Amino acid sequence: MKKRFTGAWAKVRRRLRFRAPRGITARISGLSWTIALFSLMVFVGASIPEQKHEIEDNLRSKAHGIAASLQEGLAGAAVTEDYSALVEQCMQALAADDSIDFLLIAKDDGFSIVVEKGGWRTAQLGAFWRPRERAPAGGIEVVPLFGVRIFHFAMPYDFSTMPWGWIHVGLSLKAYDHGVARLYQRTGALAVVCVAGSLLASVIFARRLVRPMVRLQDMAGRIAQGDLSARASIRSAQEIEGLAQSFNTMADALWQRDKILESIRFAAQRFLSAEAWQTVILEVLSKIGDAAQVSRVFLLENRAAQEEGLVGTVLHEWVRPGIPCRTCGPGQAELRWTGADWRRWAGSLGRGEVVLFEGDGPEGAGRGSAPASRSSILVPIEVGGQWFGVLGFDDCVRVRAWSDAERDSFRSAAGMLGAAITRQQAQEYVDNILRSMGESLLVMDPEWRIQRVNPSALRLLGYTEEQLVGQPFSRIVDGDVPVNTIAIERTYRTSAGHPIPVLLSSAELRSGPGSLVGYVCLAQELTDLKRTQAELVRARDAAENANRTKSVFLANMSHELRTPLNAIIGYSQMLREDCIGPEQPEVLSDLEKIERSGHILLGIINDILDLSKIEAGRETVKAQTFDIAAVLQDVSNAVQPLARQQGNVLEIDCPDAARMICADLSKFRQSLLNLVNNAMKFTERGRVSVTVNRRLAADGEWTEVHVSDTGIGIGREHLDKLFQPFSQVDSSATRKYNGTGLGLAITKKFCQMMGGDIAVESEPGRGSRFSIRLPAGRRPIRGAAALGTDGA
Amino acid sequence: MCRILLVEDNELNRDMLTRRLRHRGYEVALAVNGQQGLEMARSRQPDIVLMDLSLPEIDGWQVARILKNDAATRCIPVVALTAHAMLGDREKALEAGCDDYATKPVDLPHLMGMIERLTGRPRAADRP
Repeated sequence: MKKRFTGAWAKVRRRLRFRAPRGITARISGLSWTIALFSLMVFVGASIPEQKHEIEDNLRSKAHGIAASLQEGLAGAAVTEDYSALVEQCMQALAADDSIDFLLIAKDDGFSIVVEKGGWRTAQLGAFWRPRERAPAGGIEVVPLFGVRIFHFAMPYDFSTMPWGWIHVGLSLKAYDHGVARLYQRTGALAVVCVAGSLLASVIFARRLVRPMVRLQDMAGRIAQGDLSARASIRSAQEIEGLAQSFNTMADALWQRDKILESIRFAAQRFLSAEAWQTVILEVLSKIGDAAQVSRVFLLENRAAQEEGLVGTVLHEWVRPGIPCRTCGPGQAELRWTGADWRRWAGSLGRGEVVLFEGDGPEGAGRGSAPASRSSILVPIEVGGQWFGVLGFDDCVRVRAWSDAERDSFRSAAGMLGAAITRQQAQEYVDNILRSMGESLLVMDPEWRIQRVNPSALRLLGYTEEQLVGQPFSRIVDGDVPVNTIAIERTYRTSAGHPIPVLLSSAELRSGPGSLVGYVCLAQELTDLKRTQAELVRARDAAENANRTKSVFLANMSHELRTPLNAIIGYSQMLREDCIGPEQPEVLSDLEKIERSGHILLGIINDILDLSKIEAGRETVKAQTFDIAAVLQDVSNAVQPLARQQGNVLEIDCPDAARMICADLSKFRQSLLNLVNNAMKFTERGRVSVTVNRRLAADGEWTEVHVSDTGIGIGREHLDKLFQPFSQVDSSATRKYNGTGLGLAITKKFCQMMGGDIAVESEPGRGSRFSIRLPAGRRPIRGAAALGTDGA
Repeated sequence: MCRILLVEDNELNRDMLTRRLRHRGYEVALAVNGQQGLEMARSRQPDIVLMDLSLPEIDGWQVARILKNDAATRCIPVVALTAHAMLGDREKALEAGCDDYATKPVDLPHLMGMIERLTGRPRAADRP
């Protein structure tokens, strides 16, 4: 039951609300009208009964007057019981006054005289006419005797203080009703006028009250739709005017912010599309400066060395028309802040924070006639992680607070400028590399169309960049080019169709997680290299040919020289042995000289042949184990004639422990013979000693043979070329000591072939000591010797 | 009497060595090339062959190889006469079957010792 009720109520409320006026104007006018109506109703509701009451009072007093006038006549009649005079008086009263309907005199015993317009009569009437309470009273009612609605007034009549009866006056209500009707009419008309008037007034008032609000609403709507030029001009109540002004201020701020944002967008677009940021910077600065309504915008490059202040060079500057420019004069404008705060500022800027100050201008800021700033903001620019400089904004007209929006926008601008500079520097870095490299570099898209070419490639191929870009790579290269290859040989075709051999490397270019963006090919021209290579091959062939010719020549020479030499030696020996007797000593001596010279010549030829064979790599090593002591005996025998001739003593020390060695016997013997022979040749009346020993070292066991003499020795300056072919210490020595100077060179080669080496110590005038060091046992033989067969 | 076959193409060497050997009492037959050397070795059956290696037509190594492969001549000792510098020649000579070698110019006493050792005969008495 209760639920049903609340549901119905809600329905009503919904209906009411639906019908309730929605606009502010309607609401305000409705409210004020309702108040007016309510006042009117209260007024009417209070005044109408009052008026009616007044009319009744008038009737009452009139009835009272009539009743009072009858009292005198009644007094007489009460005494005399003659009512004619009274009736007469009543008739006159009735005749005189139309509004009197009847007059009735009622005695307490019921006897009553009723006087009406038409006549009079007596009657015995009931208690109605004799109310119990004896007080005058009147009211509108329907009385029993007449049955019509009249104003009935009853007044008690006392005769000599004795209650006697009542005087009743009946007044017609015609006048009353008429008055009341008129009252209603007037009030009604008045109410209608009031209602209409109040409605009109309410609407007008509400309208006037709401109009500024509507305008504000309209302006807000236009701003919301992007028309930031909308402004409200309102002269109205203080509150509304204040609101309007706030609105205008807000719109101004929005408008300016929008302009700044627009300028930042402009800056971004310019920096992105420009080849070089320098070409658009002034345009951008002007746009931002204009939007931010500042006097000056400048780009300051940070000076690296800052000892006494914050110093920078003005690279670019925009100034509002009418303000002198600082960068227009000769030379670069420099700004220098040396006040108390510069260290703090530099620290903040270095950390990427914005610096604000008022009137604290830099030295050089007011250069010439340029005005000093009153409010400034410095925004740091970062380039590649380093503090590059600042973007500065000066207001020379007023001290201003920089809004967050302005600061953010300036920071954005500085950020974009920094990014543009960074990008350009990176670009220039790469461009420089590409420009400076001698190799040809081509960048292709994923379809192998040429996208980028470096100057070296253009020079090599003889195209212009416009001719090459967009062309397929196959146009300039013969054959296919595998991806991710290093140093393969290919042929490029120049614009004239000439082939150019190149060494080509290619690689894929991938961006981020693997999507292919193209290929890069690096090519090195091989023309020169090829030519050099061909020349080298020719030179090598020629050298090999010459070497073969030399070997053949040497072999031939060996035979051709040796055959007649053999004959010379052989015939002189034969003559000496068989034909010439001791009786011809001079001839014998001459034959000996011929024979000795022949042997020397033969030795020279043999040395040259040995060395050339070693150098041609034709000499081999045949290792065998032999007794060093036996070799020394051979050597000793061989040099005895020379030793005697020079007056030298040969001492040999070969302990049993060191006697055996595994080496090439003939090379060992010849090496030793060379050394001992040399020692004998360069020593006179001295001592030549040969010492053999074994030494155990980290790299094996070694046999050492030292050949020492007490001869002329060798100067330090000659020691290093001692083992080079044809380098006998001086040419005079050759004449004196014979020999080709090849012996030591051959000996050194032999030692090296056997896995060892030779060394020398010497002091001029004191003698020399040559030491051969050879592996004592069997071991792999190094170098050219390894080619040899093991003949042991 | 020791009979020597000397195979030598160079006339001077041939003459010099022949005279020196004959002077020492050897009987020396001469061949001037390999072919002749082969024929004379077969026909004359010398006690020893002294042979230069670089011979025209058939060289000394080939001659040595043929002699050592022929049953009729296998037992005849062959001494190669080589040049000093031609180290490889000497090894090749031994490989080809030569019994020994001597370096030119010939050291006569050394050569005579070698002949004596290989033939097992003393040389003929020195000529007065």
